[in-house]
Amino acid sequence: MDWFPLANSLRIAALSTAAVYVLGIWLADGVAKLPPALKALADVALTLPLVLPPTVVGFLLLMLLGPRRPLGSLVLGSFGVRLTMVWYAAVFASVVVAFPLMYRTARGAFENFDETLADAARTLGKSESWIFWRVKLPACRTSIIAGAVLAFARALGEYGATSMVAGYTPHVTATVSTTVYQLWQIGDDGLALRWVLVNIAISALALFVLNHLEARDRAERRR
Amino acid sequence: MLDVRIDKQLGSFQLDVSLSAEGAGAMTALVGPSGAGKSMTLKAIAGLVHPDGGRIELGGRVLYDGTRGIDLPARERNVGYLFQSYALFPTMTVEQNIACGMRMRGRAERDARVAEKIRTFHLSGLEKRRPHQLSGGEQQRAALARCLANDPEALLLDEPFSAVDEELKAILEGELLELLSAFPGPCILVSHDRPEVERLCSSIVEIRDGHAR
Repeated sequence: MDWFPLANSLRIAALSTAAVYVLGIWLADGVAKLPPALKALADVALTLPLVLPPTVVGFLLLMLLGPRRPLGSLVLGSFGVRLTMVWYAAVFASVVVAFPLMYRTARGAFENFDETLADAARTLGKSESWIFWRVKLPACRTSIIAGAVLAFARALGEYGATSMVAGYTPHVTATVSTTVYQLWQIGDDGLALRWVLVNIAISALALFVLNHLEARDRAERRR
Repeated sequence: MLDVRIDKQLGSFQLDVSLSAEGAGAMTALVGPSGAGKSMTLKAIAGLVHPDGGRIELGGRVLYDGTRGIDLPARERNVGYLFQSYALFPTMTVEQNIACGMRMRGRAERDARVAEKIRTFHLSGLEKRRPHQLSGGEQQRAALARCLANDPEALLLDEPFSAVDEELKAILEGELLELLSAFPGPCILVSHDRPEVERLCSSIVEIRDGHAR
């Protein structure tokens, strides 16, 4: 069994999670500070990828990143780097699809944050950035880690947008999910089944970690 | 000396308070039923709530002046605030919470000062505990130690005994008086309990429906 699809899926999911982690926390905090009308709008826009079919996300990404499209041609022209049909194109797809999970989890945690703690820090002479890094983020850390695990699991399971922007090239862009589809297409059910089991095992593990984190968080709150 | 004269409109609620508090161990009480505007007055003094107009002066320093457009942010006011819920940082130990209150100092000096506060506030042995591992009284002492570690020029106490039962309350009152006896600045205690403030405070300001003068 050739393990490239697994390694590729894992690096795509890891990179996407890192990007989504930073973006999700940053935007969740930023949106919370917006005036109500803008907030509602921003919230819908940032959550939309959660409910859109991945094919719609893939289509929009191709419109932007394709070699003859605005961003794609600019990057290709300036750096000679293609943004589609390469392994890291799948990172763009996974980031967009997994982002809402991180964003909404972080936003929920920030909304539950006790503002009295921030006020206490202010009266102690602390800056807003100190409050964010030393009080708010640590207080919300369990939910934020849970959001990252969820985003990782989602990125690992990404198929629709990934197959459109990265395609399927063995040893180049093949991921676990696109490999399963390819093997099924050519009728190699035995190998397809093995990949299916690998996928189920990793996703189940991620969900176990998630449940464990949430149980620990609940236990801490009760005390 | 703390001089406060503020007004603020919040929906149909009108806050209109003027009070002054002397320093030197004499506590001033702000007493009234819940919803009268006690906490909001404290928050305005601390800079956590912004009044519509008026003036707040602390020891010759203007913290707020509506007509001159002065409104110092909370972190520059140097006013200690003991919250009703104590507001200890849940992810930090007692020691770390107290160290947070200290202004920029060398590490050695800071450690020595933290150790001193731990002793003074009867928190020895609890240094490495987190707030949820402390009793109500211990949490209150830790929060007060954190406030005072910051060398505030004034101290605001928001219903410090609302979270404890009657029996403990008598002990904590005595403790609070003892711990605060060395505090030189003005100190305002907010309470809805008249007998309590008569035991603890030398002057009493009554607030009703947002009005106190």
